[in-house]
Amino acid sequence: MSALLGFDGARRRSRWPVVIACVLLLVTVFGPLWPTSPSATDLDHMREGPSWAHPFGTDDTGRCVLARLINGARSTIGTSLVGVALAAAIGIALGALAGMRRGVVDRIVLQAIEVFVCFPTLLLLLAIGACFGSSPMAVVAAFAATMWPSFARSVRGELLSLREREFVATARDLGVRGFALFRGHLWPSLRGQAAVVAAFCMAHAIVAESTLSFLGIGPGVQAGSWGSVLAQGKADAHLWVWHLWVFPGALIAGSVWCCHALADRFRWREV
Amino acid sequence: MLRWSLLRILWACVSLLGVTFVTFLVLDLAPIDRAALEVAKRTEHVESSAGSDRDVALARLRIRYGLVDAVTLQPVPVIRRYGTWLSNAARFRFCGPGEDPVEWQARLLRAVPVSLLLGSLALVLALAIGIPLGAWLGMRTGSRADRMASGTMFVVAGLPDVLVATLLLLWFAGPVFDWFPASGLMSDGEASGWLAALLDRAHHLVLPVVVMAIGPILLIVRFLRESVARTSAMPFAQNLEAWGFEPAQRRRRVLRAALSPLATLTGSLLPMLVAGSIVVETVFSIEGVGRLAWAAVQSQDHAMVMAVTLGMSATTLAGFVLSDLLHRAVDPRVRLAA
Repeated sequence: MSALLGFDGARRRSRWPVVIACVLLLVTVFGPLWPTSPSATDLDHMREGPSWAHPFGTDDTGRCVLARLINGARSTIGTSLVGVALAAAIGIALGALAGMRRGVVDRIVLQAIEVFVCFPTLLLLLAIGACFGSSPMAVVAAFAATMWPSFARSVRGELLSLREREFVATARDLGVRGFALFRGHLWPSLRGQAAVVAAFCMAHAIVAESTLSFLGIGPGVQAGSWGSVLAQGKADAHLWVWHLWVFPGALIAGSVWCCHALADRFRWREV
Repeated sequence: MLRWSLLRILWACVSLLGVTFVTFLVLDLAPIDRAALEVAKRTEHVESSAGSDRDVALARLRIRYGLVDAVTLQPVPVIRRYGTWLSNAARFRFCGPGEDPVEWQARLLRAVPVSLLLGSLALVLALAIGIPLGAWLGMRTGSRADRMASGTMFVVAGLPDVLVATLLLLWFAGPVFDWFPASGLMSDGEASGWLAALLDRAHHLVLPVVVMAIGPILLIVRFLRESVARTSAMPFAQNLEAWGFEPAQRRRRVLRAALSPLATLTGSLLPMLVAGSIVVETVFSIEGVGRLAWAAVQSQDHAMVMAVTLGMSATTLAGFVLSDLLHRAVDPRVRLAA
C-alpha cells in the first residue's frame, strides 16, 4: 500500500493501481451477482455496525451497506467508464480532424471546445440529471459532453507538433493520407497522451457521479451509488454512524487515487 | 495587440452565445411539462378541479411560458423561443414570465454577496498558502520535504469536495470535536456588538472556506513548484551564480521571473469568486449562488438557471480572456511568436 501512497518514483513503478483497477472492474461487471440484496430492508437491524452478516454494517433502513456499495459500483464506475469512453471517441475524432485539417474546421472545433470548457460543469450535470431523471444514459451523455474537450485539446495540440516531424512528412510523401496516416503514423504517438487524459477524466467522472448522487440526483440514488451512501452518513452525522461514511469515502477516494496513479504510470511510460 | 484583444473578446462573446444556447436546449428538451407541473402544484390546494378548468389553466401557462403561440395556439419552435430569451437578456430582463422582477432580483442579490465572500476568502487563502509553499518546494525539488509534499498532495488530490466537506463536518462540527458550527453563516439571535458578530461570522466561515481553498491550493502549489524549478535551471539563473550573487539575491531574481506566469493562473481561478460551490453550500447549509442554481434546476425555474449559467460562464470566459491578455502582456515571447 505504501507504494500507492508513496513518493513519485515508487508510485510509478508500483503495480497496485493496475491490480485495484482490475478489482474495481470485476466488481462493476459482476456486482449484481452478489448474493445479498442491496434493497432488502430490515427494520430490526438499523444502523448496525459491521458484523458477519453485514460486513460493512447496515444503513438507516437496515439495508446491507456492502451489498449497496457493490451494486453501486455499476452506477459509479460503470457510468463513468462509458461516459469517458464516449468522450474519448468524440474528443479524439474532433481533435484529430482539427489538427489534421486546420483552417475552418480547426476554428469551429476550437470554438466548440471553448463553449464546452466554460460551462459550469456541475450545474450542467445537475440540470441534465434533474431534467432527464434517473436514466443512466443521461449521465453518460453529460459526462461525454463535459469531457470531450480535454481529449480534443490534447490530441489537437500533439498533432500540431507531430505534423511538422520528418517521419510524418515522409509518410505523406509516400502517399499515405487521411485516416491511414492518422491510424498508422500519428495515433501510436498520441495514444499515450490520450491514456493520461482518460485516466484523469475517469477520476473527474467518479467524483462527479459521487457528487451527483450525494446531492440526490441521477440514477445512482436508487442503486446505492457510493455518493448516496455517503450522503446517508452525512445525514446521520449526529448519530456518528461511522461505517456509513468510512466505507463509501474510502471507495471513492481509493478509486480516484487509483486513476491518478494510473495517469502517472501512463505518463512515465510515455516519456 | 489591440486588434488581437478585440478579436479575442469577440470570439469569447460567440462562445457565450453557444453556452446559453446549449443550456437552453438542455432545459428545453427535458421530457418535463412545466405547465403540467405548475397546474398539479396548484390543484394540490384546490380539491375539486374540473377537466376543462385544468385544460384552460394548462393552455394559459403554456402561452405565458412562450411554449405555444398566443394567437394560433401552435407550438413555438425552439429557435424562436431562444430568440425571445436572447432579446430579453440583451435588455437585462432575465426574470421569467409572470414573475415580479424586483422580488426576482432580490433573490439573486441575496445569494451573490454570500458566494462572493466565500469565494474571495477561499482565493486569498489559496494564494496565501499556495505561493510560499510552491516557491519553497520549487527551490528544493527532489529533497525529502518535496517528496513528502508530493505524496501528501497526491493523497489530498484524491479526496473529492463532497468527501472533504463531509469529513470536516463530521469531525469538527459534530460529536467528536464540537469546534465549529455545522451550518449557516451566523448564529441565531442578536450578537452583542459588532466585534462579536464579526467573530461569529468568521467562526461559521472557517470550514467552508477551507474546503473551497483545497483545490486551488493544490493547483497553485503544483504550478509554482514547477515554474520555480524550471526557472532555477535556466541559463540566466546559472549565470547569476557564476557572477557571484549571494544566494538570497539569486533567489529573489529567480522568484521574480518564476512568479509572472502566476498572473495567468489567477485569471483562470476567477470564476470561483462568483460561481459558489454547490457542494460546499449544500453540506454547510449556506444560501449562496450554488444553492440558488441547484434549487432552480430542481424546480424547473428556467429563467434562474439561464441567468446563473450566463453569469458563471461569462465570468469563466472573462477569466480566460484576462489570462490570455496577461500572458501576452507579461511574456514577450508569446507576443513575438504570434
